[in-house]
Amino acid sequence: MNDLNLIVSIIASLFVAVGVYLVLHRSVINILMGLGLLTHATNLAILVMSGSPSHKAAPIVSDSVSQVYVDPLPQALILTAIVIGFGVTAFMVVFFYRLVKENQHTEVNPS
Amino acid sequence: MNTLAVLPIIFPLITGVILTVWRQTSAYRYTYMILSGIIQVILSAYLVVQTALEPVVVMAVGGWQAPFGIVLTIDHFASLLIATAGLITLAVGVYTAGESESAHPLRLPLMQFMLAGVCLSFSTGDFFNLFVAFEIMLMASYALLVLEYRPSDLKYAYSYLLLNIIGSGLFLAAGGLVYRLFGTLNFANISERLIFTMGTDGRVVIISVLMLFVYGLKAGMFPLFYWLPKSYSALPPAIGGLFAGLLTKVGIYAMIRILNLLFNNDPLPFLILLIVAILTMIGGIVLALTHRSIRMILSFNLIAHIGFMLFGISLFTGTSIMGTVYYMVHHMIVIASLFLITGIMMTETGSDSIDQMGNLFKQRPLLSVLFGLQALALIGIPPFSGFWGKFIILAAGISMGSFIGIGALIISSVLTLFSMIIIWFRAFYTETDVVLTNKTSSLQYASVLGLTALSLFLGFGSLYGTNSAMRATDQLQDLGTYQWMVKQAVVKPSPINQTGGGDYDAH
Repeated sequence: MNDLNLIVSIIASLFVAVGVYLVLHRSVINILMGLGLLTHATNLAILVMSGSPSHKAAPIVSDSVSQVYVDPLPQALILTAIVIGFGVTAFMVVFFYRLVKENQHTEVNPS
Repeated sequence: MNTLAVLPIIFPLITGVILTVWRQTSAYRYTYMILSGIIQVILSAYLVVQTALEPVVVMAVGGWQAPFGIVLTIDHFASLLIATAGLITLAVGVYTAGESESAHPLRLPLMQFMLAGVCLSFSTGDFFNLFVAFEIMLMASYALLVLEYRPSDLKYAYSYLLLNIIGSGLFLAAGGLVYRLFGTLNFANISERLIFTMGTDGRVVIISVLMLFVYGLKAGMFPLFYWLPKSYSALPPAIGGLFAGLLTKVGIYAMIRILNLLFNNDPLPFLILLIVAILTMIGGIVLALTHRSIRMILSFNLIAHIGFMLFGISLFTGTSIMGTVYYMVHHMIVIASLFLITGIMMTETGSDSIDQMGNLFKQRPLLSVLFGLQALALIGIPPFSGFWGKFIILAAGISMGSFIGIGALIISSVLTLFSMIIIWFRAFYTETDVVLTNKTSSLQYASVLGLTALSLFLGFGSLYGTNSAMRATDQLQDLGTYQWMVKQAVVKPSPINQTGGGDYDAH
């Protein structure tokens, strides 16, 4: 594991820590932020899974030169995951909007 | 290569889109929905027959070679569950058509989208695709949940949403780990490369345990079932039946599929599963006895019976998997029909608390008989359908010497009997001054009758049931044929060589 991946891993773990902290709040804004951070942490974790990018070319195949390419699959996975995460976040925003209108305050109380 | 495999997924999607556009509630719309449901059932029944005779039905989506493209693999196990899921969605659709007050126009299309997601998760042969299938299914269920709740119940949706979103995140992270370790996300490829591990590998165990957590969360296993009862019991009974029948079983199915692939002789995941299964069986049923709302009682019963399936998986012998397969199909049908019966009882009496019910036995004999039959099946009285699955799991437990698990299973069954007797005496036998409303229609009875007939068939036709479950187990354990079938589903070769490479990559 090289430096870049180490940094990304540390950032991902920080995101998880902050995200969990925020999700445990009662205010809907904090929960939304926390969910966003958790999603991003997962995406970063997958990015690390593509291995070290140093001394590797971008994954554009050409016939003439044979090179070592960066694995593009995790990036495709992340792209899908971002789209799904976006959908879920949009849903949560609307859901919280209805919840806030119903409860007349900005806190969740699942009891 | 068999294009048939994609039809059970495409078909509900098309129906869902048409029903989304066609908002106007009318008899034609219901007729269309029911017809499409029947076609879906016929399609999946054909798949059941085909997988019973031939090996796995594989389709390489887009014609791409297996590790590069996504494959859909339908074996007998998957096709049985797809057929059952189609039947339950059809029954809930018929029930909705018969309801006196009309449902939200988006209920029918969302049910179809959920069915598509469920079928995709049963039939996919790719790890990431399984995640996508879960998301399709969950998004449809989120939307159904929020549409169907009364505004005052919205807060119960919160725990469901939050826990499932966190579960999805962990699923994705586990998918990344799988890709790093094996260099592929294809089920068949993963199981091939696992041979290189030589003995137990801690990383495989970590992935299996992470998977257990994620799928256990969806299935409602012991420490993670917090979200289930409140969110299911606040739903209208028709949708509650659909959720109880389909969603939790997808978790169990994925657990069987993944453990079957990642099985590498390490006892830790199975030990965890055994402990959790015992706690789920006992905890769920004890909590069921403390409630008076029928939907609550059924939700906790559902959790307890998820424990039976987890126990069957934790033994992980051929016999126990066979019993689990049988029990899953039985339980999907029976729990859905019990929720639908509860719906009829609620329209008749106007409440779902057993304290405000009564007189049903004298005034609604047909309903009482149906409830009685399905309750007996749920408890597992021979020769009803619940008995056979439980019996096979018990036999496997005895041969494995897992006596604490067997004890928990028997105690849990007895307490299930007890909780059903409470409903029976309080809601059906007791004579109260409750006036029944007579607002139910014959369509509602028809859907329940259909499901009851199926469950009776599973009970009395246990020869077919056990044969089918045995066939499913054989196919699950025969990984060699599975890998071979996935490999030969090639249509055109890939233009590039594989660039990735996990630690077990053969390159």
